[in-house]
Amino acid sequence: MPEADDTGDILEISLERIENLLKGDYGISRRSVGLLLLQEDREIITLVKNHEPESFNRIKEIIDRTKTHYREPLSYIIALDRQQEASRIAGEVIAHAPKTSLSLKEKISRMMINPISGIPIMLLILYYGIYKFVGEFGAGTVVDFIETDIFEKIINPRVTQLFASVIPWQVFRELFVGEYGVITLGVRYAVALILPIVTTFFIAFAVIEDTGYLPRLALLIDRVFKKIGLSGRAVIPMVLGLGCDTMATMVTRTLPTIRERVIATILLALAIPCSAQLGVILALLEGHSLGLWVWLGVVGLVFLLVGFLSSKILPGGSPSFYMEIPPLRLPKLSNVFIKTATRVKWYFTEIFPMFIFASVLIWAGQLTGLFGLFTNILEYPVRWIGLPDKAAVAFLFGFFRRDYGAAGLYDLKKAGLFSGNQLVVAAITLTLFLPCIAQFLMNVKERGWKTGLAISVFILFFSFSVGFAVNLLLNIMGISL
Amino acid sequence: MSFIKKIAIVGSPNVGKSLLFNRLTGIYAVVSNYPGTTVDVTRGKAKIGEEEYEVIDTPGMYSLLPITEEERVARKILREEKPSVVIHIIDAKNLERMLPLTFQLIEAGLPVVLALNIIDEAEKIGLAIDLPLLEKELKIPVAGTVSTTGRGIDALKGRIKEYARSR
Amino acid sequence: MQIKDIAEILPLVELKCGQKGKIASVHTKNHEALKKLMAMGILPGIKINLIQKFPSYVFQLGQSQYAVDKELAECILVRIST
Ligand SMILES: Nc1nc2c(ncn2[C@@H]2O[C@H](COP(=O)(O)OP(=O)(O)OP(=O)(O)O)[C@@H](O)[C@H]2O)c(=O)[nH]1
Ligand SMILES: [Mg+2]
Repeated sequence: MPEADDTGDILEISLERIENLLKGDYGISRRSVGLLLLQEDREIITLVKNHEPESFNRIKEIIDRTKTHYREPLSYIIALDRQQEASRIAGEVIAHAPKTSLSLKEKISRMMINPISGIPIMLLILYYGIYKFVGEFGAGTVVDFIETDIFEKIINPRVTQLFASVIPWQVFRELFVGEYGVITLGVRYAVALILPIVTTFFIAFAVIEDTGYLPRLALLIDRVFKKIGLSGRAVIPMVLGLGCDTMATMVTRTLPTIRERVIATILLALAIPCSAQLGVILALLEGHSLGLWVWLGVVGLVFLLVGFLSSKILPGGSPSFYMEIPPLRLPKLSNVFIKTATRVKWYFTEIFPMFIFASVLIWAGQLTGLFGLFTNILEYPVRWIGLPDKAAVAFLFGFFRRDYGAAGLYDLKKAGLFSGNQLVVAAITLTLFLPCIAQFLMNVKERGWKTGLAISVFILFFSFSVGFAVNLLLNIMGISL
Repeated sequence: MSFIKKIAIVGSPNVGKSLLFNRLTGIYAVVSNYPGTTVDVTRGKAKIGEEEYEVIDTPGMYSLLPITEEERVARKILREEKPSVVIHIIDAKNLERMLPLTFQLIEAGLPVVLALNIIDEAEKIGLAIDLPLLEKELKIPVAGTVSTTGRGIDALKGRIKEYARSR
Repeated sequence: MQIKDIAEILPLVELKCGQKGKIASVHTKNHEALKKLMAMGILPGIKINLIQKFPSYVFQLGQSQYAVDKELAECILVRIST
């Protein structure tokens, strides 16, 4: 292009003129501000508009005039210029003796991103990482051990005895060691059920994260996610949501458009169970493999359907997918360990007070009769979806936290109160049920009051409707799982 | 009001900013192998030489012209916190691609120190980088580091110390 | 530009897997994602090597790999090296 040199000058001259008009303090050089203005950075334009009310129009004029000299956007011209300089320097300082053969890591990487081998690899990771390790080992073996061998055999009888001897009043004993007692329920749920599940999930997740698998999963699944108004990039918050939806909602910030962030927030709140829920549900449906498939199918369908509908309703165009794919790396044990510990600690400090608080509240509610009132009210929708009245308690728990609710169902199942169908319907409804308070607050923080509240109200009705529909369908078709 | 000096760690996503932050401050910021791990700033303290600094870990940004929310967060730190040192950390394997941000930071008048990180992987694929020459070209301090093992971190601290003193 | 040059320039979507070249230009429709691609270093003059086409386009620039969807891949024009 013959005019390259003169246009380079035009840019430089315009830049100088803009620099001379800038008087305010922007924290970065005036040259930088000028370049950002020429590249039409909205934030900086607004800033300059406020700082330089007199000369803003002059500046705007210069920018517009400069643009007419170029066929391409100025950001492109500027980026190209910088890249040429970078390439020149890199050429001088780098000595490269490249190795030509593909490394083993690169070969594995190619297998992961090729759908023919990539989909089986994905399923294997899900099966061993989530189902076997979190579901069977964490939610099964470890939970059983802590529940039965530690709480039921050692802790519960001792504290019950202890409290019986120090607290003469039945009412106050109930607060600590009753049916919904702080220790026999709150602490037990937190320590015996939730802790092992969450810990095993975060271990599995940290290993997967540190290998660099997630961006590869993202590119594999992009086409499916496009159908629900998201791009493959949203895979990362979604998978993280399987650990903790609250954390994941914050990570939706990495999605490029508000539309994508809203859709991801809805789906996280509705159809992505967090690890505690997931673990309890896997334990709940243990031995009902058909039921597990129905649960997976319905939740998956809801995920796709609601995503599809939101993408139709919400304004805005379809998203683009672009992502850097980091090299595969061997996870460092120390990082996996400290990351898991940090997350578990965060999660636990989040839920522990909540569980205790819920126990106290339920105790107070029982004293005042409010607990009975609420469970009576909840019995209607619970009956409506074909569950025994006692399940109302679990849903009441679910208002505090979904994992707490799931833990409530777990106890009912152990008591043998559910048929196969009821188990599946309960698991589905509670998976879809309201986000926990922490997640609700995060939704409000990231998306604003209106959206946050609207999402919750929608989910409250929607979850029961789906439960109702599934129950009805199973009954009509005469299926008993 | 305190007058503690600040060090901001910036750079493209997934180049080891958070890991460097952990090394400097002893505080754990989440490290994962994908771009976009850090979405908000983390702060900690580090003693370099005699001086105590506040160190700020930022979300990854590709250029000073932000496109996503977390890139805006990173730029805001640079504009509003007046850091005494900005560590621009890059993946040594991708020097050519990441230098443009170095230019932008220098152009912005920020006190930039360049950390060429992940030198271990660069060596493994047969890349050798002439650091003194790069330093001469850019006219800013340059150090080669491996955040995973801690190699070169002391040298980086040394460069920061000299640099902070000279300004 | 000469005819011969033009014949060698193809959008990324028309390359075969394993084919190499240099980025000739990036379409500059006013599109946020393209700005991002540029910031990520996907710029004219850089060597490119297409690794995979389905389900996403995966290519290597220098020592980095990227994945983009079809719409973006159509915006990247490559001068094929023979
Ligand atoms: N081999 C090697 N790997 C490194 C080095 N530094 C960082 N890594 C790895 O690079 C990955 C990214 O590290 P992070 O510290 O999370 O990178 P970051 O720049 O904070 O990333 P974002 O927060 O996503 O912008 C991790 O898997 C690290 O283990 C290094 O010097 N050598
Ligand atoms: Mg980080």
